[in-house]
Amino acid sequence: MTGAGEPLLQVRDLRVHFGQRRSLFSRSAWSVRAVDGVSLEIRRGETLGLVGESGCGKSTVGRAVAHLLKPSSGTIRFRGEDLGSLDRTRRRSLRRDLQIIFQDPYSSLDPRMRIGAAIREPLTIHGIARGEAARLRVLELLDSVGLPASAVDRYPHEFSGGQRQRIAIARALALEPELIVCDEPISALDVSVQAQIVNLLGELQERRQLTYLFIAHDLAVVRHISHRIAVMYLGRIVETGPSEILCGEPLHPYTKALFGAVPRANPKVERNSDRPVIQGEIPSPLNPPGGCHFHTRCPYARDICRTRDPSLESVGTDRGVACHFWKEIKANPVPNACNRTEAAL
Amino acid sequence: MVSSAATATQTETGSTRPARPRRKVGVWVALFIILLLFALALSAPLWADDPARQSLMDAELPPYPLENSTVEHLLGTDELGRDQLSRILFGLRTSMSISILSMLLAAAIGTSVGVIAGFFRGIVDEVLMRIVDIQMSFPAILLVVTFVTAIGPSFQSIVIVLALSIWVVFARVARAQVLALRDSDLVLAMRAIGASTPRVLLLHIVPNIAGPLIVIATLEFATLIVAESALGYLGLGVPPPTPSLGAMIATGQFGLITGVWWLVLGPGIAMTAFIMSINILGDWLRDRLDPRR
Repeated sequence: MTGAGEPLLQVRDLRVHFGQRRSLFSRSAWSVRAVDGVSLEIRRGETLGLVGESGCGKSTVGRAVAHLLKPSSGTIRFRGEDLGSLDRTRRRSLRRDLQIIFQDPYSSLDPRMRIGAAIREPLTIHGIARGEAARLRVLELLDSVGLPASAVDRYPHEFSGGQRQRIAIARALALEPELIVCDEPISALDVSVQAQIVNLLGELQERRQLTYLFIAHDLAVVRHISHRIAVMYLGRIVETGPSEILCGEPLHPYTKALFGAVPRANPKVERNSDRPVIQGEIPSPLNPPGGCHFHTRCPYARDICRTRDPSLESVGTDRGVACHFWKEIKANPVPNACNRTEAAL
Repeated sequence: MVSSAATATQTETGSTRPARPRRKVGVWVALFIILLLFALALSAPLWADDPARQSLMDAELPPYPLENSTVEHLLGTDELGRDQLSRILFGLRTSMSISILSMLLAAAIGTSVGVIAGFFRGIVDEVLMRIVDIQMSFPAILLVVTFVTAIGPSFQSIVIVLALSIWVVFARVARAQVLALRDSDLVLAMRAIGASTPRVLLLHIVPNIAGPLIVIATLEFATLIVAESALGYLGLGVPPPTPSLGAMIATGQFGLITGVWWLVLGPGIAMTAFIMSINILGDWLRDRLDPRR
């Protein structure tokens, strides 16, 4: 599954800040630290699941990786090459190997373009195939995502959400990429269709040795599809690790809470569980809390959490957690009494 | 309001669709009038009289079949004995060609400016849109009259000045549409497959904002015909002997007192029918292309 050696994608201290400076026409200045120092690695043939609440910056990481927005700082190395420092032509050829699938297949396909033309477009742009060869390639791609050849002459609105997502996948596959950023590819789909798309992605990964950065907020799906998982909170990664280990024994209080939020089928177990519950909303990235970003909602928070920002600490091999007290929490997982009652309410 | 609520409940028994104003017939009539006038105006040089041929012997003949009229001059003749029908048709030709050309020119300029401003934002957007705002703050007809007077009336100058008077409408609409599209997944998806900016703009943005622009173009076309006629009426239209509907009405208006009413009535009816038809068609197009309907 996971190949040794150099990772395919290596992100170092990525920061993406959106904002506006004071200028002639706008008096207010603001800045959102959507991604605030994220580092991650993906090995060839592996799926890295990136999870977190909405607004935590996971999609922004995906877009920066797919080179759709310029990072404010940090480096993204793909096959060892820094995307930011490449010249145009080199970057263009690298981009071929780095594709993205979006959450909403309704908006990522041109409503006025037939499916055949949409899938053919990447082939034309990169001069891969034209004429009859391109037509055959399109049919082959449609077939590989489980769509009939008759789809070629139809428009996106004639397809269901799941079928459109298949079309988007076919378009991404047209360039034979090595890495595909899947930006919540199933969140907008019906539950019954979600499984089909997840299975298709898995199948394609095996057949084509694809590497995925799989962004989602649904832990059950991510756990199923990922080899490794990174958990994000408010622009930072709070925990990473191989998915079975991380899911089996989450170390960071936020990860614990996330797994606590997965609904369980048995109400008896549900009632008796003493899982931590997180209160309140995710703070605004416009004005993130100081120190550890999670301290405002963390049942274990102490004074140091409000002032000092914990760094991602290695735990064993291939695992990291950003919490001052992970060892203590691991030893004694019951949060202090006062927060406990609050959580129980 | 009350009546629309009533019709909505009525239709619930029949179809599930909300009540929609029935004006299919009107649209068909409008389309027929537009096509008829276009066909007549286009084919006029093949069969109609030379609109400039004078014959003082036949001056001020009334329309057929009134007393003293002839079949050769179906709509009568003017004070110089020129055939009214052929002058109306040739006037329409001028009017249509000026309006179409300036509409296309305005659409090209306005759409380009709007798309560029909306897509690139920033300082480009600020500068272009402030220019639009400044122009919008002047009445269009004032600008047109001023510039035509300054440059001098000719076919080309009128086309250009009229185009410059309405391009801002296209720019505003195009920009608004592009703003909604530029941050969409569609643009990101195109970037991901390596599409260049011109490709994204021309192949994906422009076709997707075409609907509203076509409606604007149709409605502006009617406005341009009015504007062209107004210039003709003010003596700033295409110079004689080229016939112009506005100029015909201007010279013929005193005929209303002296009893030569057909000098005004013919061009007036032709123009009114044409402009109304285009407006009806434009409104229908707007409703058809509105996704909420």
